[in-house]
Amino acid sequence: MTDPRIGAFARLASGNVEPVRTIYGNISKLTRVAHGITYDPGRDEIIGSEPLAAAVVTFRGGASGQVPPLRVLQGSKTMLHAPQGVVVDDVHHELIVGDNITGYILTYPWDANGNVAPIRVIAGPRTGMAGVMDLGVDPQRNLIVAVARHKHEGWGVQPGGGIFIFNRTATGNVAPLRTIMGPHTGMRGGPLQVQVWNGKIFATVSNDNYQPPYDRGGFAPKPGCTGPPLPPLTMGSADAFIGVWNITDSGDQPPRFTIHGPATHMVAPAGIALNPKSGELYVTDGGVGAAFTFLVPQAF
Amino acid sequence: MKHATLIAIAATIGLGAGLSGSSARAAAGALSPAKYNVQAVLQKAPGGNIAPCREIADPYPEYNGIALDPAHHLVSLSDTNLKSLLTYDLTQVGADSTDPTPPRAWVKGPATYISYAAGVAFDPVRRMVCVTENDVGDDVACFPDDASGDYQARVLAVPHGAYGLAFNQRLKQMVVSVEHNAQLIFYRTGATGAEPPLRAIRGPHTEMADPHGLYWDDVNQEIGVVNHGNSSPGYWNMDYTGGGRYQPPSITIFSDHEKGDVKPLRVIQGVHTQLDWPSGIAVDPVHNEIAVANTAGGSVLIFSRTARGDVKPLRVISGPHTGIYIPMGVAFDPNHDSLWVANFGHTALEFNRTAEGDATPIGVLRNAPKATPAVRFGNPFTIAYDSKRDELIVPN
Repeated sequence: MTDPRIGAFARLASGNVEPVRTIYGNISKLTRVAHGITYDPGRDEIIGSEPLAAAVVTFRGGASGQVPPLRVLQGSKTMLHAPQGVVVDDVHHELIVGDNITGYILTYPWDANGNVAPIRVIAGPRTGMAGVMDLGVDPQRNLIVAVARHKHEGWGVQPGGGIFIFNRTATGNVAPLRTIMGPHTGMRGGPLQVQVWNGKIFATVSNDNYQPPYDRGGFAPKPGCTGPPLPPLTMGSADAFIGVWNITDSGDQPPRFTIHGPATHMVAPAGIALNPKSGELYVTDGGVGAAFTFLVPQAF
Repeated sequence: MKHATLIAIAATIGLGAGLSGSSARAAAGALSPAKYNVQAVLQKAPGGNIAPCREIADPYPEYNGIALDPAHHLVSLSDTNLKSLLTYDLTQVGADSTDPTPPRAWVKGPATYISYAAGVAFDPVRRMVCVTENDVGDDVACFPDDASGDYQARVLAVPHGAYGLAFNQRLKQMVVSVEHNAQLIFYRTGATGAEPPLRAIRGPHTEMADPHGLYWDDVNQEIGVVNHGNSSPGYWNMDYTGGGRYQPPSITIFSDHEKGDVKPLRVIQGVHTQLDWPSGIAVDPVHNEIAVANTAGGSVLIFSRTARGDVKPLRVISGPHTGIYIPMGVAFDPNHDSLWVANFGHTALEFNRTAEGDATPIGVLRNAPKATPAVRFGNPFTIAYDSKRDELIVPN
């Protein structure tokens, strides 16, 4: 991807603006499209997942320029294949990582550095997850909330995926405490990213029907494939939305609040971040190459 | 739980191969798409069609890859922001202007299949220009070199993470570099649809790691590719348990008829090379030089074509007068004995081929008025809020 930097923008910035600072260069160990990033206010750190190096990198909160990470979690003991979502549990001092290839949820000491094994792993068919896109944590309620999409083994639209809620200390091949999925949730293709705050779940749902034409190894087109997919990021989806659920919801539960429609300018919403103090919700959209701010105090 | 125990569990329960598609769908309680009436759900939910109060976005194209067709006096640049491909007439390039340069042709829209446009290459025999799609488009899209608008592309499905692209008329093949599984994959020129590849160069002996731009040197029958150095075989191989690793950025050069897990003919790598996120590369077989768009270094590096090892560049173009800033692509123009550089943003710059140091460009292409800022989002997927600094953190 073009220039795999981290850019920081003033919260009130709008329009065509340059970032106020960037983190970049080989020394930063950043790779193409960090698929998960979080800010840990307790330790003033930025933590990012780097799927093309199977690594999780941590920077000082104010890092700028060509700087090395404070810590790099990487290696055979980590069990990382394609780390995607990352979140810090400031109460229990843990770093939780969702892996998009294995479908594992891996928990490490928050300051894990180098080739460190996870202290807990949620993995296996009982989890129902084929690939974890992102996750959040609720330390007060002792819950991990993961979002997962269907796995693209075949060619053709494959609906599935949703929100998976686990006990925070669960380990091994365990079923989720509950799931939110089904036609009334509006999540046809599964959500992409998630935030958890004050008993609520905020998720981006692109509903883009993306179908990779090749096998994961990139050796050959999948049987039945006749060509590349319609480009979902250009085409977008009228069904894309931001959805809010209660963390106690279960089953085929419709969202309790949504942001959707042409006024949003969203084409392919992916990332989501929250600012409850200001009643603001931040969304990145690769389809239009934008970062949106929605003022929605009623959603909190 | 110990790693070995987890591996054993994973093997026992079949995680080594992952959940099959049918198992995953069953586990997720999947239904047919027809049973999902998302609009009906959204219309009933509170909230709704809410406009953003702020929006960070660049309304102009932002250049990425670059290619030249000297025979027909054309230069083409991919645009990852508006998801387009702009082609200019080289005879119209002049000194710097404050206004955008009018393109000769500009393709953009759903029919083009262009989204995260990366590498560009001309097929001058067929008068086509092609662009790789670096993300979920998973394609190479080709157009007549004078096509404009929402032109229906001739498309070929390729693996996820395609970046570099080049054609060879002798072998009648095209080659695509793929970031995610570190390979050079070859197709018949003119391949469309889901036509399978002819061959691939991939494997640990190739020393490729997150390959980006490439060139195909027909004179010396070589292919060169720049590598960012990131490696995660486990990304595509579920059975791989070795973890990821970082290696220094490099240029790997292969014989152009090879396939499989072959060693490169030469590797340029090391601290003296100054390589730092090298993204674009071009060859000048007449003067036996290669040029590298050194993205994080903010420079263009010129090496001897036959250099190997930890060598210093022959020349470096860098400095405030050059206008080089986050360079993504390079291309030689043998007709004008010049070198083109595409910045990630609003300019492409032409230099004398032998330019060095803080040189001034001799030609400039613009896709926005002079001094226009550039957001430079390159696929913004995720975001975080820094509550201490009141900032939004967005990786590319």
